[in-house]
Order: sequence, then structure tokens, then C-alpha cells
Amino acid sequence: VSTTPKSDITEFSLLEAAAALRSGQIGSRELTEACLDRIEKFEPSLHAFLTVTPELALEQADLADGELVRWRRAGSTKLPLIHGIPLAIKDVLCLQGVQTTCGSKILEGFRPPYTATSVERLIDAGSVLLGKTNTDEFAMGSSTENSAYGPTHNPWDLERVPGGSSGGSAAAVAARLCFAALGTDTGGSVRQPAAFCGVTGLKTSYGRVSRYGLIAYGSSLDTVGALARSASDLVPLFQAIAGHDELDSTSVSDPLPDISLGSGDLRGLRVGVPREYFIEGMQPEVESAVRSAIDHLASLGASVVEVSLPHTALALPVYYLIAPAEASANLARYDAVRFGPRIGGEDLWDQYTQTRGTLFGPEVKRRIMLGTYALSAGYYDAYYGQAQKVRTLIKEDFDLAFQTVDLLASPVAPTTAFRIGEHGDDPLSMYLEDVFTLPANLAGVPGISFPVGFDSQGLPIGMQLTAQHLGEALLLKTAHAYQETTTWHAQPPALA
Amino acid sequence: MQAPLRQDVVRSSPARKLMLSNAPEQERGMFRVPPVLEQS
Repeated sequence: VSTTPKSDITEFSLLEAAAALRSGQIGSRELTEACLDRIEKFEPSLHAFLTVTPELALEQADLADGELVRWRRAGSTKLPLIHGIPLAIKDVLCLQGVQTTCGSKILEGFRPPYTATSVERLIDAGSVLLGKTNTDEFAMGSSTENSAYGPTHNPWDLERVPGGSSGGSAAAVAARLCFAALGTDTGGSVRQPAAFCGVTGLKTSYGRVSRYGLIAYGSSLDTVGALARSASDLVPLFQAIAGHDELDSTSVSDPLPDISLGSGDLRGLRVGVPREYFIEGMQPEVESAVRSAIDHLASLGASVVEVSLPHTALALPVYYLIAPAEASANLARYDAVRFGPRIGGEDLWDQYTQTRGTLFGPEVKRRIMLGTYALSAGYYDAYYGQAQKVRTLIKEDFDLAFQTVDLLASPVAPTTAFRIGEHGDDPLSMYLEDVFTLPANLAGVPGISFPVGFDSQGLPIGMQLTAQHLGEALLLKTAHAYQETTTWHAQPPALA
Repeated sequence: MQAPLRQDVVRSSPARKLMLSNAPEQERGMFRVPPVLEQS
């Protein structure tokens, strides 16, 4: 824990805040009130949250403070590091009784009757929930511009997007409105906003964190992840949410590893640099910063070799068949019978067409139509079936690469944060933002995104490390080694 | 090999009131929907 005096307790890292709570230097209520004050001050310009839950947060903070008093007296009981820490939750994860919209008008007013397992585990660990963060509608997007409730603004430049779809979570962490946040990653939705907002984001392996209570988008791709100010801050969050859950049949039963971050010595680590991830047209400053960061890993002892993932170029078209196909099936449940607002209702078809036609946004409708077409009789084999075959080839690229290297290093996105509205009505150019992150979702492997520099306009640049399935510990350890010897991640945006 | 499904154990259903609480329309403890069949 740093001993540097901080003028504002929201400047503490999560681990510093945890230490201050344990020592009694501060209380959880004090910490929570500081975050709520900051939300009140900056939320009008950022719009990182869709729902703020001050009453719930303060109630949880008081409970946490009581537990901390008992813990100090007894001293022997184990207390999770996130106990008493104010966190935020992406608004695609259910929290019982609290409005959960997925950034969509079709779920306006929906109060889930149950809580997602990942959120429940945060509550069980004694953390404090400040509210639900903004997202592209049903997590479909790379900028939060597809949120039906308006975009989130990037704390580094309010005219720019924070990335997406977990852009609200990334902006909230970057702006010090909370100490960490949960996000979800179906095609890059944790890693890309982390890069755009200068924070550290972990996309977990498929099956590592329960999706029970995560409102589904692409079921073979969806993962729950987390965003924080550093890799070391992510460790206790990951340890709290990961692990088998019998309520999610895709959750793996492998035991969680002990994560010892250790020193900055990376000797023995083999890092592969996939040549297909440095493409023509990417922002030169991004390439330069990522290559410098790879050199830095080498200076810490890692050996670096170039590798090839030959099917990378096919990941984007494959993803945009599989994800919309699964989305079209998942979103069929929004029929205005059991939840959500209802429009029309002359007869059942009128109810379906009016409600869905009016309350789904354009990007969601586009993906439902693409997916329905790809799954339709006569086209299934040609599109969805073929995409699944190519997906296997993409996964085999990763399997082959991991026979010779431990990690893959690449840019997170081809550019830094773009201006709100810049991609306008060109969905394809928006889809290209995820070109370096989609392959990990198709392969089911974990990835981490962390800051490695700034461009000439002062916008953060992120680097991505990818590991084998269930290799989160190595990702966190390597990112921590980098952050122990650099300061990019510690620089906050200058919010007025 | 491991069965991924949870044990098939009998448990109580969620409360009807809770499950109906988000319904846009309900009637006598049931979801209300528009007519599905046309009038003859």
C-alpha cells in the first residue's frame, strides 16, 4: 500500500482503500459518501450510470462498518479485500428490486426478482453497490452510443466515447466515481472501454464466472468481467466473482488458482506477438505505444517472438454471424407479456410488432434481423453452420500459438477513443473497432487490457494480453509486473 | 466426464406475486395477453 498522502479518499486504489478500512483510518460510509458526492458532481457531464442506488449503498456501507468493527476485535476471521468497497455494476446484470434495463426501453421499469450470481458474490463479500452503469443496448455496441438513455462521455475528453459496451463502468472507474466495476465482454466490451478510458479490464475465460442473472446476448460468447484502476485491484474482485455455480451449466468446476502477483521479474515468460494484429490503417501512436510496452515486458525478462494467428481476418465476419444469431434467439423473449412496457395490443401480433418495433433500438433490430436470417431454414448451414466451422479454426490458431508461447500481446483497438457520432450511420466501421478483441471471445480465452501510453491528444492507449483458457492468474501477474514499473495506469483524467 | 446440470431436486417455485410484479398487465393472478384467436 502506498503511503503517498491523497487529498481525496476516492484517489485511493482499491487495495489502499481496503487497507484504510481495516486500520480504521476511514469507514465504509465515509468512502461511500465520497463516491456518491463525486457521482453527484460529475454524473451530469459523464452519464456513466443509469441508476444510482444511494440508499442501498449507505445501508450496505453501515453493515460493512459494523462487520469491520467486529473483525478488528476478533482479528482472526477472514475478510474479503472488497469488504466495504464501493463498486458499480453494468446494467445487464440483475440486482433484485433495482431497475435493470440493459440500456433498452424494452426493459424500462424492469425490477428483477433475483440477483445475478456474480453480483450476489460481491454482496456476500461485503462490498457496497453504488448503482447500475450505462451500456450499449443489450451490450450491442462499442461506444455506449447505442444506449437508449444516451451515451456516456469519456472522462478524458467529454466529446468522445468511453468505448463499449461496458462504457459506463469504464468511465465510472476512470473518473473515480467507484473503485471498480463489473462489466461483460461478448466481443471486447470490457477490454475496449478499459483501453479508451485508461483503466485495467479483465475479460474472463468462458465459463470462469457464472452468467446466472446476466441478461443474455450471445450465449456462446458472453462473459462477466471486471474493470479497475490496476491489475492488483482486479485480483480481489476476480477472486470474489469467479468459481463454479450450479445455476449456470456452462460454469467450470476447476478450482480457482492462488494469485500471487510477485515481483516484476518476468524471466521465463514467453510472449507472442501475432503479426495479424498490426494492420494497415491503425493509428501509428497505438502501434508505437504497444510495441514499446512489449519491449518493456522484454526488459523485465520476458522472451518475445512473433507468431501467426492465420484466421484472424475471418473473426469479424464469423462473430457477426454467430453473435446476431444467438441474439435473435435470446431476444425473442421480449414479448411484452411477463415484463417490460407494452405497446399496442389489438391482438397478439400487434402487441409483438408494436412493442418490439418501437422499443428496440436500430442496432438491436439490425442484429435480430441478421441473426434471424442466418438461422432461417435453407441458410442455416451456409451461414451459422459455416461460421461455427471457421470458429473452430480460429480457436485452433490460439491452441497452436499457446504451444510455443504463454501469452499473446497486441493492441486492444486500432485507434484511441473516437468522437461521439464519428461512426454515424456506418455500423461496419463501428464493428471494426472490435477487430482485435473478438477472436478471444470466439476462442473462449481470457484477456486483459491495460494502459500503455497516451496519444498526442492525451487519450489513453491500451494493450491486450491474451492467455490460455483459465489463464487469468498469468494475465493479472504480467499486467501487474508492467504496472509496478510504469505509471500510465495511475494517471487520472483531469475532470473539472 | 461430469454432468453440467444441477441436481434434479424438488424446490418451491418463486412467489406468484413476485413473478407477476413486472407484468405490463395482469388479471386475477395471471398474465393478461391480447386475444390470440380471432372471433368467429
